[in-house]
Amino acid sequence: MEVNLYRRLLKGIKQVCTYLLSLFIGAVFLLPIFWMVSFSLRTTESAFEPTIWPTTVSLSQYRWLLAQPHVLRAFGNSLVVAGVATVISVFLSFLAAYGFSRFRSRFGTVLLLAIVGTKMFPGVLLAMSYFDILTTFGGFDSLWGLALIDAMYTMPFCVWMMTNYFNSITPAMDEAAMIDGCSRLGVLFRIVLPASAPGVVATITYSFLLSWNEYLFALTFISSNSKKLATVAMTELIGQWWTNTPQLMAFATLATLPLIAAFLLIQRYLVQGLTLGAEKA
Amino acid sequence: MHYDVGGRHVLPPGTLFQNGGEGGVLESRGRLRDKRATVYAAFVAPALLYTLIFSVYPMVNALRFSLFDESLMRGVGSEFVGISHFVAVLSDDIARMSAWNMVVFIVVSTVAHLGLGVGISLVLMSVPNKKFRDLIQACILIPWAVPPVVVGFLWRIIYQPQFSPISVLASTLLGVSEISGLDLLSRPNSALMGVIIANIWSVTPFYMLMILARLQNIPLEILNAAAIDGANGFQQFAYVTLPELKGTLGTLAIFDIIGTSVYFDLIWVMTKGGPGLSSEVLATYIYKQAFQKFEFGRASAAGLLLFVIIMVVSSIVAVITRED
Repeated sequence: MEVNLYRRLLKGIKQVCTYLLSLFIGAVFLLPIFWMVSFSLRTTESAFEPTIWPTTVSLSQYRWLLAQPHVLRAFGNSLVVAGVATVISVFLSFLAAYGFSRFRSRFGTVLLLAIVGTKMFPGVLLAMSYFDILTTFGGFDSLWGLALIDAMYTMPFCVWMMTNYFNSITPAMDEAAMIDGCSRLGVLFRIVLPASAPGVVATITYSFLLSWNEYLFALTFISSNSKKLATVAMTELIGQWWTNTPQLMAFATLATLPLIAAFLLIQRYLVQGLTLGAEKA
Repeated sequence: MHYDVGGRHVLPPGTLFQNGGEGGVLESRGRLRDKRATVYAAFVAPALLYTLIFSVYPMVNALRFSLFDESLMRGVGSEFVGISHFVAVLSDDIARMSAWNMVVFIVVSTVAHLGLGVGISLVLMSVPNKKFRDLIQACILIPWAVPPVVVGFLWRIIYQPQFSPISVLASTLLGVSEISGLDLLSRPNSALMGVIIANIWSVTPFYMLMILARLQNIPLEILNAAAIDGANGFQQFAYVTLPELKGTLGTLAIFDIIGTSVYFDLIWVMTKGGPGLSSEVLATYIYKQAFQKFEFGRASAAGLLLFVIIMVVSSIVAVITRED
């Protein structure tokens, strides 16, 4: 009897500890994000107040930022580049993934791993050749040039994830549709696409997120102010002697929060797509 | 490892992507030999072509840069110089120091990512309430979606005593007015560590999630069997869970080594390799050589050396952690 009580007590304590520990871990990971948002709600004058939450919550930083044409343009540029890059990358990956998933062969696996393996090439090394290519074809300091490169930057992920999604749809459905007179492309768009829609949406979102967050190429291949992307424009809020930290945090919040929201919506499918294949590559 | 469910050949979750050529679930595909090669090529070719243009050609081009006198902007200097760029890199003290910093960066990050990944996964898995667990998991995942540039800013602020949430928390909760040593980035002997901590915060979620997904796939029967045999929690972890995780950890370690070795954004935003050269890694060294000094030849040589070293290290890790 007493032993039983003791055991239950021990188990209870253990559970409380588990909850507290996981709460602590969650808080540690969330703290910087919380700080970013809370700081963005300060006025420039209250930046030094040592409080966890601003004494007077103010949207003045956002109001100021959203009234700046160059800030809006930077977000617009990011939207265009990430959008175009995602369209190119997802479209190419969509076709390739179908090929890899439905016509399996040893050679196909080698090709798939070759595409995914290009992620091993150092970005700073590729950047030099990109610089060369872009200046030759007039793509330097242009949004389309950057988009073409960002498409390559995200493509390995897209091919990998979509191949995994397509592998999880049985080819029996393809066969049935083809026997009914559907073409290969018809199968792809009428059978496979609807069946893997969540996976494709997750891939699109993640690809967008990757190129939106990309910094190295955006920094290197865009020189004129009117074409700067959000990630680069943000760094320019840092002054040599003085930085308006609440303003910087407001910019960071604007550039980050929408994508965090989208990311949390797709995370389940994203994990699926990434881990389905992670078993043995 | 196939599970037989109701007479149908079903793969366990996590093994759907098989080695090609084995047929696996696709044994019935033989009926679909409709100009197979042509159709296949039509689907795969566009992506392959894109990869050739934007990944393979640039690598070949980098090799060309590294062997010729590409010391100025395009068009100037195309004299063959052999391996002299490589020799120059190998005998450059700054390059060697950057390489050393990079090794520290990689080792500490990888160990922390995987260690914390396993630890946090185990904590999460022992939380009985699913809703609560999902909530915590969502909190942990958020840093994954934050751009490296923003990660850099956030941690620069955290290391800044007058703005840091740590000093604010310390003063409001504990009454401590000043925390010494918080400004990691401004001192040469701690700047690299400062960047590493930021990197751990930002990338651990990814590894945690991958490890968690694998852990949830370990059949309960194995753990139960070990428990019946009298294994305590630690023994279960050491003799059952860890061996099951070995392959996954190996793959993730390779992933991390490659990813961290070429990681540029975070360091550039946080320290640009400074103060002095204290947090310079090969990625920032190459960038400076290439886009500040326009020494494409030397930068390419350094980049190719980096690539080869990483390939070799990854192969070694792959062999060590290979599952029998």
